[in-house]
Amino acid sequence: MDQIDIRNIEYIFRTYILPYLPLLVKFALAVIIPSVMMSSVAVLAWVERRGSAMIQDRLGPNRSNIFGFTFFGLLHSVNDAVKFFTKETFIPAKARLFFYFLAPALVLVPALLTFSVIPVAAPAEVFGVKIPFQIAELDTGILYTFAISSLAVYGLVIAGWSSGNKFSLLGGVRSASQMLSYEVVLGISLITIFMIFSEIEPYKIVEMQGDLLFGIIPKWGILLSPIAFVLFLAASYAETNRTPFDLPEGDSEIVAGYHLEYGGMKFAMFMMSEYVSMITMSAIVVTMFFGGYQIPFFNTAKLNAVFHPLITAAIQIASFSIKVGFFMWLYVWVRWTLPRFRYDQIMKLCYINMFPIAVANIFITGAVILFLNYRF
Amino acid sequence: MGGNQSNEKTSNPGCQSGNKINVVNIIQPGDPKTRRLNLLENTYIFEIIKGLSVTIRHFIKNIFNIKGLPTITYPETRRPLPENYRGRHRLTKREDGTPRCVACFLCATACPADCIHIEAAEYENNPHEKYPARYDIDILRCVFCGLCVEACPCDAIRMDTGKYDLCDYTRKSLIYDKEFLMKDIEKND
Repeated sequence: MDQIDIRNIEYIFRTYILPYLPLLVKFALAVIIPSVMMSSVAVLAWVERRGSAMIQDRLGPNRSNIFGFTFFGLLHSVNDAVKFFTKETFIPAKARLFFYFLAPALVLVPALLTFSVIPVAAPAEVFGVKIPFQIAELDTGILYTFAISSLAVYGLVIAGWSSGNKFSLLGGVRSASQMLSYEVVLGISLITIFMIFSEIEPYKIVEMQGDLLFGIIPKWGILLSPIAFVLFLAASYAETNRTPFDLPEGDSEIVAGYHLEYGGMKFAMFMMSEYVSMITMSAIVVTMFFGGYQIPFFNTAKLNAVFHPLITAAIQIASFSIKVGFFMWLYVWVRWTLPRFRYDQIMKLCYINMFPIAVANIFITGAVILFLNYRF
Repeated sequence: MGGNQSNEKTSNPGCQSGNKINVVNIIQPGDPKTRRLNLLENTYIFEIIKGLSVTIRHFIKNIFNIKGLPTITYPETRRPLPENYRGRHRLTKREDGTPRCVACFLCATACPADCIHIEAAEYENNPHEKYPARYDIDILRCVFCGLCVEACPCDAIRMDTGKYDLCDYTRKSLIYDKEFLMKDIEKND
């Protein structure tokens, strides 16, 4: 048996592990990010329950406990999970079985996929290798997100149709028309951002947002194109079927919406996909309008000058999470503040108000860019 | 419309076929009470921010003062009851521990729900007085009207226990017998 040479290990590391390090990190991210998103659904359900209680001067669910420790009511989410997994699998008599079981997956998978182009931190250089903190650096950039997220509509419609229930079909049709309408506004409002930065790759847009505008204010998308931000935020609420645009789930009119006939874990998958797409939408808002992982006045280069690249990445991940967390809270906050729109009001708001403004915003932004003849 | 408004109280607008149904309380377009939203209000944004500020104020106020919420955490803390609150019945006792009840059946007669069942018996050494051999109250039938208490000439039945969470798993256990009704009431029973 030869002694293991320490230089040999270094050689092995340099030749066999280092080149694959970015790939390993990407695999790790591809595992970590979806699991973080799925497990944060439990926390979000807790935030929604206790947060709404605090807003409405109530106490909220606080009873479930382990040996008397309630953990501020967090255990209710654990109980939910147990209940979802142990519930009877009920299949409605008129359900089309294959599609009935396929639909929850068709909703959840696109919701989980869309996050992959969002950078959670700037690429860090370790041992001379650039490690990207982004699952996929695609040339199509943020367009990939829209392409995948529109696939979720199929899941909703199939869920509504395959249940064999008229109310759930109505819910599916409603969500389809609403999501398709607002996807237009969602995409068009972002075009101004693409024009301003002349990029569609999220990591490049975020990189540019680390700079300063006129040397004083951070060059965030919201400051460059505030109208696009308002339109995008409103459209993202409609896109994720949240209040004030939660028409697909009208308790008083269509009982529950497209997931009416689903119970147990299949219902939980619809719930999870709603929350996961909320996280993704918040991440896109942060990436496009709030500088992504950037900390204002301290961009990647400045942080790298002080800290190790990996610590910089950790700080930036924290900054990104805080920003996304704020927008998650905003979803909850808005839900317990605003009453919902009527269906025709939603369609009018989309096609008569928001769509023309979004288009006009493109032309105005284009004119300003032309006038200044200067790329921000 | 102004003429109809005066006799609104006397007439029943829904039932009288001759009268036009009054809609005076609904503000209609063109009414001086209505106001068109101005441009700023029509964009919703500032109005939404106003609404959000209201809810976040409640949120912050409550999150730092959870004890100040009006919620009563029921089984642990209870709302203080008024003194004349009619709770579960009890049978009062004499100083020697015998029931004050003389089995006169006045309570059972007064009971509108017919929930009191008495079987009378006589004391062996006292030829003048009866006592209830059985005194059952079917609390599932009781409507808590308190007429039994008012009817009693001996102050033998009272509803001053302050107990209102009367629940159990069987119907039989909710028919309270004499022994149960005469038990001393502990505060945290």
